[in-house]
Amino acid sequence: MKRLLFIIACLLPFLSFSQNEGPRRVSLGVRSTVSLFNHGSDDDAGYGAGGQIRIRLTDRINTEWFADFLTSRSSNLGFRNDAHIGWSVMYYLKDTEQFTRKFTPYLIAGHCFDYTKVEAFVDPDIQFVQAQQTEASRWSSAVQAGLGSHYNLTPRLDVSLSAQYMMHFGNHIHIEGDLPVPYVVEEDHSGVEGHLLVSLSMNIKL
Amino acid sequence: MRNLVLLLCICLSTRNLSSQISKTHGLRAMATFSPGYMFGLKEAVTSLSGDIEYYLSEKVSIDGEGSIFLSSITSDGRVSENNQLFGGLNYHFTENKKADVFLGMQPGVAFFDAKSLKGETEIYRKPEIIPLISFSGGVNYYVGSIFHFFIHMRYIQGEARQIPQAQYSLNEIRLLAGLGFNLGVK
Repeated sequence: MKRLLFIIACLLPFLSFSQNEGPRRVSLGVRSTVSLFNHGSDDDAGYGAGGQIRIRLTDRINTEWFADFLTSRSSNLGFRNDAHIGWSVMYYLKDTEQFTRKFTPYLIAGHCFDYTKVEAFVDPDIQFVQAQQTEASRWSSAVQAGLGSHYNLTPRLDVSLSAQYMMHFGNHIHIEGDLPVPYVVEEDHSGVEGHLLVSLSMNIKL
Repeated sequence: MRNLVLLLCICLSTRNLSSQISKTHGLRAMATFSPGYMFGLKEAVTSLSGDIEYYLSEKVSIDGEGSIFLSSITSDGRVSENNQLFGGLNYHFTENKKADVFLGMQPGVAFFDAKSLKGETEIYRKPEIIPLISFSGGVNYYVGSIFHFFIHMRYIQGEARQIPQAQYSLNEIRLLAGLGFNLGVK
């Protein structure tokens, strides 16, 4: 939370130049996210919500500073919560024409920090005899890249759809075993795990 | 008597409103009982909902909404808590018109708990915070500088993940209608 407030405080000075220079450079938005193919699995899609601030650096280059929270299921064995906080650079493939054209496609790539919590379902009747670990959490780092497009409802308001593949670098935590006594395994080595993150957002230029 | 006073207020407030109105930098707010149908759970529910919306321009507004779960109408309802908060943006199709048609996107969170049954025994669980995907649309009809009528629909999508026996879908269609207040709409 302190980190989030610090980042927001750092971004506030950009608001001033957004008001003075011609095209508006700072946007504020909300996002809905769907996480697909978590760690290679085609089920257990995660849903999330969050928001972002965009700061446009040049006509073709924009930056997106985002935070979101997603929940997903690990089969019937437990659940997983993820929180992302990060930033991306957006490169517009076409001249933006001050966002007067309806579609503005872009390439997007960036970096984020990720907090993950995994918890196995425990039958309360046998909880007291279970010796294995039933929950674990970790911070990790991730990189993401993909494609997206704005649909400009007005030059100040856009709906954006993007798809990014996100790869996490950190100790792998996952659920193993079977009901009624699944358990959480924390690998002691770093690994790479990934998922496809599809975001739909609505943004207003301030 | 109260209804008569309310009607009188509405009539008085309409006197100063021409056919052209300006909503820019205006506020509107409402609170209402809202029926909904959770089609994933096949459960009809009621909530107490309220929202506040600020018009940045005739076309764009910022909207925040909250709802408190009241009860399930369906017998054997499984939801025991489903309070929600939403925040987002609306796009308005009409400018300077009394009838204000809009569509919007407001992601949110639910504070959800369910009657989780194992056989006949209720299992203790922690209430769960669930991210929600949500879209809304509807019409506000400004009848004065103080009041407007509204009819909104909200679609909500989410999944409760922390219940061992099954995933509970929070998918819901909700209807909100009634009389709201506005400020700064000229």
